[in-house]
Amino acid sequence: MTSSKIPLRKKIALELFRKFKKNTAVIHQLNYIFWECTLRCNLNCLHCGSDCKKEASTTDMPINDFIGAVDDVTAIVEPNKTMIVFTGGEPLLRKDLENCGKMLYDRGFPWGIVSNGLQFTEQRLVSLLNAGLRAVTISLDGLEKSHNWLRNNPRSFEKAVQAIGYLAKTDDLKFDVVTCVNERSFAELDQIKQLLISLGVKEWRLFTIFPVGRAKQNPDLQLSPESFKKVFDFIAAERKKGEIKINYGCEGFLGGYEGEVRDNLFFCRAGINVASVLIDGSISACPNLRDNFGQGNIYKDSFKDVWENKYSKFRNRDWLKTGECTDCEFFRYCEGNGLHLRDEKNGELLFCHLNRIKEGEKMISES
Amino acid sequence: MTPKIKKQWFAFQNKSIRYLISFLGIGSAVIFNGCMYGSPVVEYGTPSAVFKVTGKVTSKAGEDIQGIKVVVERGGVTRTDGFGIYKTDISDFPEDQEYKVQFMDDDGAQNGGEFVTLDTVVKFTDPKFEDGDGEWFSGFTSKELNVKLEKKK
Repeated sequence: MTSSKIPLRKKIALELFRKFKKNTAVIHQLNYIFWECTLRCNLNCLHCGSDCKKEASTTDMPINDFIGAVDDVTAIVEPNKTMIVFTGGEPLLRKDLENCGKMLYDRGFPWGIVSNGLQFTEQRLVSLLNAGLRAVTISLDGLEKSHNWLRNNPRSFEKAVQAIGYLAKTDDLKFDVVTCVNERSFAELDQIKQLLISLGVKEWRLFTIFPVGRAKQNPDLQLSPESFKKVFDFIAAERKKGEIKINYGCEGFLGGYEGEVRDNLFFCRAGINVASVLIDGSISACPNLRDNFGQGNIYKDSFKDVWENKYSKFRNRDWLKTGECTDCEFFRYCEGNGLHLRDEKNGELLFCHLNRIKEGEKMISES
Repeated sequence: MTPKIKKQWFAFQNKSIRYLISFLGIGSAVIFNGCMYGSPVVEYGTPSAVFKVTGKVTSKAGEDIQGIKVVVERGGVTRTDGFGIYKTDISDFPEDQEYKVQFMDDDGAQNGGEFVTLDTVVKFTDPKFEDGDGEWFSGFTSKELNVKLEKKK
């Protein structure tokens, strides 16, 4: 499979999907809310670009402040179809997570968490389930040595695997494992898959670390162009086998790989269906869209009004046709990659998936 | 056109586009699979339901075939037992669903000879759910999919 050859059938689908995306941007239905509930974290991961620390100087947002924002926006959403995801930092460091979860549950909102698994115990899981927990994502970034290296903690693998074991046995919970692929874990993908299957995991998502922030300084964190391309070959092949439901993450238009490596065609829904409430009350789209991407603040603005009247730069992406996107024939489908891959200050593209795959294809064909 | 009617019109268009894209074989191309770092598939968090697919795999001559690998889209992998029976569960959004199913003989000449792989689809149209919890879990629904495999020549 190559990135630049897009069969006619897929091209027609991509054209139709363009219209779908434009319509979705007009409909602008909020159905996914992230809450950055803490910046405290119990790990110090090599690839982490956030400001998280063991003892973050920013205090956790009081539950009632977030619930107030949710109540404000309730008039324009369908609670049962609006997912609220607690992110961080490490959400499980908050002892009052269940209180917030129960308040959301009582209002009809499903909620979930993204966790490194270090703090997960069977008792905590029961407590969270009793408060209405419906979805969990656990990060596992390699086999023991590679995961502990990336996570910078000698027990993180053991604890993540333990958490995965508990979660895989839990009924009625939407659960998946996310792996950030780097050059070390790339070589282990098949073994990781076997491990996950043996643990009873049904869904697995892969991401790649893009060379920004700390990841830019550490060559071990970046995939070579050849490995980058091969990640997509691996996913496409595994999807055909069907042993585990495997998807590439949400980012990046992938040319010929579209429709082959994830269930959906590429669509960055930040600000179109997705909003975030960050630790300082900022209202944004995804949690990693900060600074200039902020659209308001729950301490000053109505979340409902912000959603209804702002987010123009998210809903019309024409302004992203700059730099290497200017002459790209695929901009019509890609619209400038995921917004988290644009510079927060000047909007410049930080990473192009398609170009990186093409680079890998070229190197492989020349070797 | 009022903004509300405009949105309804676009929603209708999107539903049609979704069917057209599925028709092109791009599958569930318009599913929202969550965001980077986010939990998966909003629509599946809740409400939810369990779609059970069960059936029997036999040869054209009517003999039960053991050990056939059954791969059900979003349902994982299972195998037929000594009576050719297989069962699998899929957790999904409680509405019309369609899953690709593949029956593959990957054990060579064992268990009655070699059979040709069969790809098919199981459709849940207007499914009726039972034993829901009255809240977000709509309950269970099931379909029987019996197939006959052809022997390789």
